[in-house]
Amino acid sequence: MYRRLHYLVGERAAAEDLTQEVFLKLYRKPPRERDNLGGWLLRVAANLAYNRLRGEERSRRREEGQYRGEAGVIPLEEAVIRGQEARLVHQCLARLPPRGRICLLLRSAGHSYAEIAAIIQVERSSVGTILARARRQFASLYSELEGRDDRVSGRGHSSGLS
Amino acid sequence: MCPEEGILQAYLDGELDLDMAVQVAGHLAGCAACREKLHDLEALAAGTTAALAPYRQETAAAVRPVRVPRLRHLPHRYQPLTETRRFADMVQRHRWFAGAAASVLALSLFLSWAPGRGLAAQFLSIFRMERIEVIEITPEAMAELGRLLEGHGGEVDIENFGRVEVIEPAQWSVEADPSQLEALSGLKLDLPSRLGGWERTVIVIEYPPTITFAPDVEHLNSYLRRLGGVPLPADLAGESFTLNIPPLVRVQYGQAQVGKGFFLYAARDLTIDAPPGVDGESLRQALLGLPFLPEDLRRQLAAIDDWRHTLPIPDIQGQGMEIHAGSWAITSSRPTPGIQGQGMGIREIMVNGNEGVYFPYAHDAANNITKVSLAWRQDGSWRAIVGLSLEEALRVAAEVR
Repeated sequence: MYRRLHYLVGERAAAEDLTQEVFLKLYRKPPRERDNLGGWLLRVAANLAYNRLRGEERSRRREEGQYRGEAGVIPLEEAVIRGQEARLVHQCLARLPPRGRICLLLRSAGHSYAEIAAIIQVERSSVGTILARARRQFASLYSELEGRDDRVSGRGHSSGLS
Repeated sequence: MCPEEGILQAYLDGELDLDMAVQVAGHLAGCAACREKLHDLEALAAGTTAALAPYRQETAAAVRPVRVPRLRHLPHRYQPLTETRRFADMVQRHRWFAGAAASVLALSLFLSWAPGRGLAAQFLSIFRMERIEVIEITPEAMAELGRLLEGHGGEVDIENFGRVEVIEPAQWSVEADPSQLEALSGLKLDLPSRLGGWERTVIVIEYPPTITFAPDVEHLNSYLRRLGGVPLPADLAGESFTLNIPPLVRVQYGQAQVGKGFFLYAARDLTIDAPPGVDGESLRQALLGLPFLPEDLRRQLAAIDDWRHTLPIPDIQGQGMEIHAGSWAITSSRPTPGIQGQGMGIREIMVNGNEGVYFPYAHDAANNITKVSLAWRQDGSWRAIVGLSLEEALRVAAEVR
């Protein structure tokens, strides 16, 4: 459960909070059908993750959109991600709109269109469109940020020095 | 009229219902621009999935530390499709049944067609599917199995139980002339230029992939023993089974892709090639004992007497489908008006004196008819009609020789 939430929201502290919340929900209001408990838990987790991301998005907009990656400071959360590629993905995901982000991640984790539609609250017929758009956005962010990463690590450094 | 991107994406993901999938497939066969778009979407999906992999592993590292492998740069990651594709991808291409239904069908194939005509057979055994039997399955069980086949089942992931290799055909489909039909498909078909009041418009032959399954006997057996199941025969180690799906002939009468007309399908029998000397019955028992199989499905598969020659057809309960003729919109899953009872409503029926099945999939409100998919076996091959009412479909079936 924690792993899934970490995957969706991308932050350990938030994932821990939400994990607790999922199990609290289970105690307070257990699902009627007991057979598919795993599915129920994943659905609740995805719902919470989506709400959390939307909440973050709103507060970020209020703060006049200071983008963290651009200040040149690596946030603590990213410092603990060891792999360079994983960090890059983390940065790209942070810039996707929450709906596209959740859609992309849930699909990659094997959810059906119907399940995704229920979580992001759209018609099932819109999922394909949202998914394709989110993937394209992700891919362009990735190549953009990857180019910058190369410069930082020194490979394209010659320009200012000669 | 070209389908919008979201529809193509849903087609790629096997998320369209049968009629829509048929429409899109029909359109794709004749539209190079859309094939190009589909290919781009496929490459995009492969690229993002590859890029996400290290992130997935890092977020999973809380429990299982994983060394993140260094990947090459993104442009290389957007690679064209390789010859060998994942099982799930193949399932999504299989157009007789859309999406998850195809996953279950494919799984049923492996589970119920356990090969081996007996211990005496020292040569390659081949089974022909000559009968059909409807298997009922709940949407929950279906979703579970779908997840399993897409490689997200955790420990009971199909990837842990063996290797599935899918060899793509050199080309997916080709438009054919009636005179080339037999040479290209191996089928002798008499196709009138007019049928059921519609002109024959186009003949397309689709080439499916070849699927090979090599079970990881050691892994499977340790898993089965731990859960008290029946282990697989040890001599199965290193052996593989090949599922041969024959070319599919798709004939369009009228403008079936916009709801005016129908599709006629024909294909030879599916066959399975098994290694010599395999004890089929004990293999089947072991596979039916797999703990992740939903109990209900297990019981029904086990009840098939002539399992060597029977093709199980999954009937998903509570999954009515509706589509409006001529529109590209996907409609949500809800019971088709005027169709009673549970499930997709698959029924067995005799067609031209042969066994067949049909299920209603759409209600054409304008003409107040319920459209069905009708499939039956005739002269050593399979036939299907999609897009007519049952009465009309039966009438046309009688004319198809």
